[in-house]
Amino acid sequence: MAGQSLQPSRRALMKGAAVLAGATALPAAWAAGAIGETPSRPVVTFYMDQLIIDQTGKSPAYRPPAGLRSAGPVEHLSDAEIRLLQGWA
Amino acid sequence: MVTLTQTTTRQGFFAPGRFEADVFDCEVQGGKIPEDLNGAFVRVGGEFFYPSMYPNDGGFSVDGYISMFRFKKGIVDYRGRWVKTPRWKANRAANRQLFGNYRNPFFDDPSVKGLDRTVANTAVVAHAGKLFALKEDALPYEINPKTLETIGPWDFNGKYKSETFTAHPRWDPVTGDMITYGYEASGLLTNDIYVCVVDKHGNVKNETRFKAPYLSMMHDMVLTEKHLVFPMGGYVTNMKRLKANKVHWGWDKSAPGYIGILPRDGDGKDVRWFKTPLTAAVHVFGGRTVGNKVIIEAGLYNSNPFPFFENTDGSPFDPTKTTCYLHRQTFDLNSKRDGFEDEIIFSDPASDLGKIDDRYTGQAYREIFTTYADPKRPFDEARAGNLRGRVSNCYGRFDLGTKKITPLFAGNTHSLQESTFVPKSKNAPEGEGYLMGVASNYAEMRAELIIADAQSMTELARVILPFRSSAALHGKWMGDDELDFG
Repeated sequence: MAGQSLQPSRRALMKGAAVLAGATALPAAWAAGAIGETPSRPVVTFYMDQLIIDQTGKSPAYRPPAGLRSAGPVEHLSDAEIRLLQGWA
Repeated sequence: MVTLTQTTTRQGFFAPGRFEADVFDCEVQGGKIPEDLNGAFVRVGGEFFYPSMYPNDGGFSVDGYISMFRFKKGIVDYRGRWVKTPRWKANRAANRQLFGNYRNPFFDDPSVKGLDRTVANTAVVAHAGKLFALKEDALPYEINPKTLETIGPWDFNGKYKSETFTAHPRWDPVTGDMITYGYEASGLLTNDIYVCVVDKHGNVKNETRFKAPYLSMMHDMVLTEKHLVFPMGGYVTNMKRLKANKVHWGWDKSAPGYIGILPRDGDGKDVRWFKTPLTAAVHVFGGRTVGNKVIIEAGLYNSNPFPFFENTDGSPFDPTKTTCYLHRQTFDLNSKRDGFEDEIIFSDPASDLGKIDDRYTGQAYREIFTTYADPKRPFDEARAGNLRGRVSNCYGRFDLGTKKITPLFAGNTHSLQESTFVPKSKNAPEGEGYLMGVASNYAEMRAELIIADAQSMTELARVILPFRSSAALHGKWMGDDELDFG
């Protein structure tokens, strides 16, 4: 994004976690096969044949096929960071 | 040097493509290309060549990319080109995005003040021997049908008197006239609608103007033998929004919906507005006038389907509340009240991106072709992600007589884009011909053009592109008798 950069999120800093690396990691529940759970926090989902960020967290989270670096959870991002993400196209 | 945002929504299959392409004699699987298909399936869509200037911009601002599958004697070539608008050229010259939010010129880079902001990314049409890429915020952009290179804006020899031109003009199948319109016709935030008839030779022969109940998006219209029908409502804008650097439209749940009906032999003062419960009417299939009744069929969303048009009440966009159903609405022009009949004609959700046999525009028709998601179909989650039940995996022939759907399943790693119908011949019965549309194959990371028999909905052949193609918004079959593709 021209002229803009992502700042470390509050939550990521508190956890001491790597911010963007964490964006591609699958949460433990998914790794255990708990597909179909409805998160209550913003989540990357699939809508009208595109990926978007569902701020309501009502939609099922998208899991890419194995080996593809793609839409992970965004719960570690701050609200400001989420607004910076392109949610369409 | 461009840095493309490595967001979680732009990776894998959804990562930027950015290239132009020529593929000659494309690979074909599963059968042979029917040799009576001679012309081109032309589509337009796009992606941000440079990332958007502001984070709340959205999919309607992506740079236009026009492509075609050229059919000639059983061979298919593919070509894809950026629509090289003044905006695209300015960005390329600067090596960055210079334009701000969707239809909001107030926060552009000062160097592009006054430049045409359109990206011409929404629909393609052919008329009077010319090919156009359309977006409803500007004039049509003429495209060379042989090369797909951009020629420039076209105002019909100065006779078209609106700053905007819809992405969805309609054609009278009897006269060959193109009936078109522009809203915000006199410029940004104006509330006038300009309606224009262009004859089959490309000459403007009739025009009128009228005002809407309030300024709102009017993306599509219905043409009947006697009327034009304009659905609108819910999307709102004003100077305060634009000065606050918001995208052009917001979704106001409290705003009423309207259907405007204009007699084709009347003028702007004859338009009648029916007030409706608020649904999001984006695309319509068709309609007809029967006596004093006007009947339309359309896919209607129960709320705003576009996440980048925020709710004006501040609530977050909720994709779980945007289901689309196929409706039939009947308006009695003898009635003294706003009321009308509204029927959901198929119980399962389906896409509003559907087509009828264009030869039946304005008349009674029996068949609608559109996409839908069949959750009972298989999906290979290991190869394509956990999208079972969420992809548009079927084309359907929706028979309005029997209320039956004849499906064509695209495959267990696929999602379908809008289809187009091609009559087998000029005199063939309604719906006899071919259906074609592009499927995204999430496992093989490529686009595939499906060609099917439109009656049996059986697949005849599949054209394979060795890459992901940008998602297109709309496409249309254009025969060799309409355009010279070389």
